[in-house]
Order: sequence, then C-alpha cells, then structure tokens
Amino acid sequence: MIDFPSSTTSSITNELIEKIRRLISLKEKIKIIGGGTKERLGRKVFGNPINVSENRGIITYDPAELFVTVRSGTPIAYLEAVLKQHGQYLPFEPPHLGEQATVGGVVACGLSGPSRPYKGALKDYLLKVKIINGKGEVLTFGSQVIKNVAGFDLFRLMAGAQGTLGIILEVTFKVLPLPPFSTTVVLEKNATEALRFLSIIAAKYFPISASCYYNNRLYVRVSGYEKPVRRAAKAIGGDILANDHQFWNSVKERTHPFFRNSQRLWRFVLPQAAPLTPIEGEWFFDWGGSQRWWKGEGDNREAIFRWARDQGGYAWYLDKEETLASPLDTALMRIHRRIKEAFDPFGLLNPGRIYEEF
Amino acid sequence: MFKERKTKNSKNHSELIKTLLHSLPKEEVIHEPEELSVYECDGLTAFKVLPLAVVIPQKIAEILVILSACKRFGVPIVVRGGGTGLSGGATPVEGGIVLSLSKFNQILEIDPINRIARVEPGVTNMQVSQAAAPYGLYFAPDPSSQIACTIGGNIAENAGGIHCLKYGLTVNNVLAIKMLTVEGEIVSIGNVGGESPGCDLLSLIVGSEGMLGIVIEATLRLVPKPECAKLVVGCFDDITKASKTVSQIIASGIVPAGLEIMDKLVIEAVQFYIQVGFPISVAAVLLCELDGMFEEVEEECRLVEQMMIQMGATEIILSKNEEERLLLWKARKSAFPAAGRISPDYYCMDGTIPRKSLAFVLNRIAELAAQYNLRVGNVFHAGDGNIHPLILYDNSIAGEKERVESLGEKILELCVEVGGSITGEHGVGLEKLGPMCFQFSLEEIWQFHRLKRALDPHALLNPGKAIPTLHRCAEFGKMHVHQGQIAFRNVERF
Ligand SMILES: Cc1cc2nc3c(=O)[nH]c(=O)nc-3n(C[C@H](O)[C@H](O)[C@H](O)COP(=O)(O)OP(=O)(O)OC[C@H]3O[C@@H](n4cnc5c(N)ncnc54)[C@H](O)[C@@H]3O)c2cc1C
Repeated sequence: MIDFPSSTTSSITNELIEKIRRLISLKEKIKIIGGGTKERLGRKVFGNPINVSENRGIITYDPAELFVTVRSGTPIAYLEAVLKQHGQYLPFEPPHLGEQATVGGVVACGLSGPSRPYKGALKDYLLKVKIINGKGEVLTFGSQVIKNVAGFDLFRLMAGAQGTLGIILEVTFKVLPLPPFSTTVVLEKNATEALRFLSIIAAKYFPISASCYYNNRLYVRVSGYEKPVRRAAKAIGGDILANDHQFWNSVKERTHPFFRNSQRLWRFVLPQAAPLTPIEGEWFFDWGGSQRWWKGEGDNREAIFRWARDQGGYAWYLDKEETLASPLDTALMRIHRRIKEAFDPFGLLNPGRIYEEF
Repeated sequence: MFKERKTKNSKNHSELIKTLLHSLPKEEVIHEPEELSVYECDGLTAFKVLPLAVVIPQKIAEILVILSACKRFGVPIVVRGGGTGLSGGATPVEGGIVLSLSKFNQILEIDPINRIARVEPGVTNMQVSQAAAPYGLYFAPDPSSQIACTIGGNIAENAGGIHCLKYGLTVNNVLAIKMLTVEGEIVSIGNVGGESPGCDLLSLIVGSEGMLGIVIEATLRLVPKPECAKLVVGCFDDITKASKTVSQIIASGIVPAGLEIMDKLVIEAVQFYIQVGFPISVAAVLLCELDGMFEEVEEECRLVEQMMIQMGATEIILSKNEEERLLLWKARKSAFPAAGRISPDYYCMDGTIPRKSLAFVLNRIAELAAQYNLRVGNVFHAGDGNIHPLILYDNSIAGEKERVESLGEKILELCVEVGGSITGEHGVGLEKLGPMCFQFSLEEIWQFHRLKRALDPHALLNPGKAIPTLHRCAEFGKMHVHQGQIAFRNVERF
C-alpha cells in the first residue's frame, strides 16, 4: 500500500507560519521558544517571541516501519510515552531538562543522553525535518527512509543549530524497540583506572548502553537479551546496582546530586581516553569518559577552552543564565556566518544564540 | 553556478597548465590527451568528459598551489578518489581539471584506546579495516567496492554497504575531518568525543559529493568485531512473501547485520556463475545475517527461521560454519558480474523505499519492465528498503538505451511517490540531476544552491553536479506534464 498521509498541515501550524512570515516581512528579529526549558543552553536572545509549543501532535507513527513524525511543539515526554506504549524508544535518550521540553527544542539543542557513545546521537536518529527559513519559505529535507543521499543533509544541520538557521515545524525520527533487558554494574575505581577500564571493555563486543564515573565509582549499563547481558555484566564485574533506571534518569536529566548547586558548570567533550584535567574540583564523567562535567569557577576561561582544544575536544561554560561555547577559529566562524546567510539572509532567527557573530 | 561559466577560454587554459607545470613536479601534471582518457569518467561510463589536465599532488602545499591557480584562471576542480562512484561524481567537468588524491594514501594512526583511525583521504576503505584488524576492530561501512573506493569518496558519497543496516552509513562512523576550503584554509570539523560547538558541519560535509571542500584527513570510528555471525537464507516461491518477511523481521525488533533479497532472474544468473545450491524453481531468496554475542545470535537465528517458515519459505539454509557463510555471501556479491554474463549491458539503479512498500514497488517495476519490453533483475538491501533494480539491455540495439533511461526515471519517480528517495547510496552526481526535481521543491533546490555558494562562492568545486539548475527543473517539469505522466509535484509551485 502506498498510502502516506501527506504532511497534513494543521491550522495551528498554518497560523504559526503566517505569524512568522509577518515578522519576517517586517524584518523583525525572532526569538524562538519551545518549552522554554533550555534557555540556559545558549546565549541570550532578544527578539519577538515566537512560541512553537502549540504546534503539537504526532502526524504519523508506524511502529513496524520504525519511524515517527511529530510537530515540533510536541512535548518530548509525551512522544516518549507514546513510543513506550508500543515497546519503542528514542535510543539517544534525549535529556528533557524540564517537563515542558519540546521536540523542536531538543532537536535545536542537539541533545543526546547517556547512551550516546554506544547507540548514537540525536543526529543519527534524525530522518527528516521541516523548517521555515529566514525568508519565510517552508522547506523539507530528508525522508522517512534511512538511506537517502539526495541533496545536502540539511536536516542534520538543524540538530544543534539552536534555531539560528530555521524554525523547526516537524521532525521525523528513526525509533527502535526497547531492549528487553538491562542491568547496571558498579565498580570501585579511581578516575584514571575508570578511563582505562572503559577503553578495555569498549573494545569487546559487549552490549554496553551507558557508562559514567563519579566519586570513585564506575557505572556501566548493559542492555539487550537477558542471557548475553548477564554474561557481559559478569565479565565486566562489580556489583549490580538496584534501581538503575532511576540512576540513569538522574544522569540524563542532570538531577544527580553532582549537579546540585551547579550555578557554574563546565562541560567538556573530549576523546574518551583524554587525560584527566589538571584543574582541581568535583568531576562527573559521562559518555564513557567523553562528556565531562566540572563544577567550578574556572576564572581563566580562555585557558580552559585552550586546554580542551589541545586535547582534541571542546568546552562549554554554563553560568546561571547562559552558556558560552569554545570559540571558533576564524575560518570556521566565516563558514558559519555564510551558512547563516544562506538560510536567514536578514539575520532574524535567534540572532546571537550560539555566538555573537551570527 | 546559475550561468554557463566561460571556461572555454583557451588562453586561460594554457596559462593554467603552464602555471601547474611550473610549480609542480612534472610527473604530477598530466595533460596529454591520450593519458587523460583514463580519467574521463568514473564507474558510470555513460558520461565522459576529457579534463583539461589531471594533477596528482603529494603534499598539501601543492594542493594549495593548484587551488590558487584554478581560482586565478577560473578553472573548476573535480576531486577524484578511487573513481568507483556510480553517479558521475568524479567525472570531469568541461574545461576543468581533475585533482586526484591517490597519493594521499597513508594511515596516520590507529588508536586502539580511543578506537579511532586517522587516515588520509586516498586510503581505501578496505585498508582501514585491515590496519585495525590486529586490534579486533574494523571500520563498519563496507561498500561492495571496498577494495578500490577511498575514504574521501566514501565521505563525499556517504557510502553504505551490506552491514549498514545495523552499523550505520559513513555519516554515522566519521568523527572528524580536516577540510581544505576553496579559500585554501584548513578547517577542523567534528570532534572525536562526538560533539562540537556551532552547527553540525560534519554531517553537512558527509554526502556533499565533493562540492563544499576538499577532505584531506578523516578520523573514523572503529568498532569491535562481533563474537560470531550466522547467515539464515530463506527461499520463497513468491517475492511478495520474501518482502513481507523483511517487514516482519524488522518490526519484531531484530536488527540484522544484513538483510538482502535476490529475485529469480538474479538467482538464475548467479547459479550459472557459481554453484551455491539454491533450489531451482525459487522465486526469491532472503539472506539474513545475524551477528553479536553467541547467545543473541542463537536466539535471533531461531526467531528469524520461525518467521520465514510462517511467511511461507519453501526451504531454509543455515550457514553451519564460516566457510558456508562466506560462500552464501559470495552468491550475493557476484550478482553484478553474473548479470554481466547474461546480458551485454546492464544499468544498476539505486533508490530507497519504505520497507512496507517493497512488494508493491517490485510488482510495479515488473509491470513497467513488461511495458518497456526490458528485463529487470532485483538484488538489494531489503532491510533498509534500498533497491537496486538491474535493467538488462543491449546497447547495440538502436533506441534501447533511451528506453532504459526512461524506465529508470519511472522507477525513481515511483520511489519518491511511496515516500522514499531517488538515491540510497550512489549519490546524485550527473546521473540524477533530473530526478532531483521529483524529490525537492524549487525552494528547496534554491536552498541547496545558496548553501553551495556559501562554501564555494565562485563555483570551483565540482560545479554542476548533485543539484539541478532551476532551469533544468522547469524543463523537466514541462516535459513530464507534456507527456501526461504522473503529476509533477513542483509544477504548481512556480
Ligand atoms: C562494483 C561497485 C560496487 C559498489 N558498491 C557500493 C556499495 O555497496 N555501497 C555504496 O555506497 N557505493 C557503492 N559503489 C559506489 C562507490 O564505490 C562509492 O560511491 C564510493 O564511496 C566512491 O569512492 P571513490 O573513492 O571511488 O570516489 P570517486 O568515485 O573517486 O569520487 C566520488 C565523489 O567523491 C568526491 N571525492 C572523492 N574524494 C574526495 C575528497 N577527498 N574530498 C572531497 N570530495 C571527494 C568526488 O569529487 C566525487 O564527487 C560501488 C561501486 C562499484 C563500481
């Protein structure tokens, strides 16, 4: 049967498009708001607020075909609940960071959770995105099928662009069945030992689905069929963690005790086995050691950004209200500005959200 | 990009060659017509263009010299890897040069601790996995052309392979690249850790068909080899049943390492070529490879076998050992040479459709083939809906090639109609500029052009490929409406 609901535009989507086009025709700057839960994740934006959270609902969900198409204002929690009813999930485990979090906001921020190094990132599960660009044109890139190499992959470019290139109207994700069984083991290790151990187990064919380190403890989650999972868990060693679902949720949502009083927080993304950071303070490693959180002031920001760069990675500094990312070098910044111009020639969409320059 | 470029200017051409000969070692510049013909096309031999010159530099500094000379004389550049592309991506453009990266063939680092390989772009896909093998690791994307195609070409085409159903395409397995911009700057894009600030340029460059920059280094993700792999082959008396089994397997939650279908025509051709012992009267075989830890492979083999029987498989072959598994795969892998044995010429199509449309589309293709009086064989990546209809023909019969092209276009139109794509892995190149107009609206094509211009303002890198001109789409649209064929979805938009 070739019966695909053509991407039916709801009247709310139409109203939203009209509202956006009106602002664009007046050359008014636009501040895009989803659930408003992730304002802190970028720089402050000044502009006419456009709230996309009314643009919600699932458009197509075909569990057998492993994909779902939703409107951008759909709460991510709602989407995940529907998928769960059908025994499926978003394998990149997006952090919600608040009940109101929307699909559009999650895609715009390019957020992936603890499973990221093992199951892939948000961009690996993104199949199609419908946007409205800074000229008011409604464009669709990607398709519901996984293998699609026609044209540039502009849908993946929307992941992490934080709304600077277009306002996301609709998103299609690839989904997968929930693993039938999961368990987590805890091992006593110091930070150096933990990183080394993570490298060793990652080189084996174990169905690891998350790992993190905090306060001399290494946590490894294994997921899949029960028998191989039990064998892998035993081979990895350590004690079984009770209530592991709750634990990983606290890592994903950053409600783990480490994140308490984290008005100032550094986030590093580095090669897994990068050496320990020479700065004193409290650390939390996620993503098998690739995503590292540090609670501290970090007075000399430039030096910290440089250190991350020297390790082959990047850093982000989150204070109470906003996030500053590692600076881009001149050539990369120029590319970003030109891409911004290609989508948003008048510089109207979320100006300055990631960097002052675009 | 929008206007025909004035590169016919022969004075500029001879000046460019003079400059190249002056600044590069002599053996790195080829410009005699008889030597140039080796480079006149890639794996798609239907399009041939003789380049102005071919340069085969050994150092980045030399590429910089070439770039600046080409910029000065307004001469376009086509980067070439292994030249195995199937859509004309590496085919020279009129009045342009070919920049071969074959001398950039070093594996710079295999880092088993971080499980990454850092390589130059001219390294072949196979060499990476070979170099990683001592550590029990490999590079997952495995195009059938892996002995000859290069990492640079894989990145430019976002290549896939039999195992990408489970392990992802190139885009899912590249962590970082170094790219030379057309301005001659080296930019680092991506991050081994997985995330970088700003927009996801890495995903933009992967699959951009050499039009946005020159990839000069890549850092690739290596993955551990599974404990074991087994192949379950189901034989069916009806391809519809085989197709429905594909949907069932995927819907059940199993992600096979590979899930492939061969139809009657292809099976017959293959049997003629190598002896694998499929039953004679079989209409389709479904090959399902399961890999992972011993227990899960055992469990999944059992489930898959059950599903195949339920769906009406007439016979099931289970690989008992590694040797048998490889022999069965050999049958699949020899499909293309085998097709070459039963027909003077064949045209390999590439498109993607939703799995649930497999049976419908295959039947429709058979109907179309009958209408066009052409034979079509099917051997394809069923698990991700990536079909490869093989249209058999004889080029020496007048008008047959045109009929093939017309049938091919129909098939791609059908792919888009059911919600799929005009290319799953071979890319657009020169071959599918027309069908791009089925899949995208004019505004979307404009957006592609604006993006191309953002990175390559003077249209020096592989111009005229991958994105049709708006004029072309207008013509294409008119032609289709004129012939009264299936509605062209872009027409109403302009
Ligand atoms: C027998 C056969 C089987 C095949 N099987 C498969 C398959 O299973 N799956 C699949 O996906 N493909 C397959 N292909 C197609 C082809 O092998 C792939 O597209 C491959 O990725 C091309 O690599 P290449 O090095 O030969 O690139 P080329 O053909 O030389 O170039 C392809 C494109 O990449 C660009 N390019 C090359 N290097 C660079 C660089 N360093 N920087 C920027 N741009 C660059 C070129 O300009 C061109 O546009 C097959 C081809 C053949 C002949």
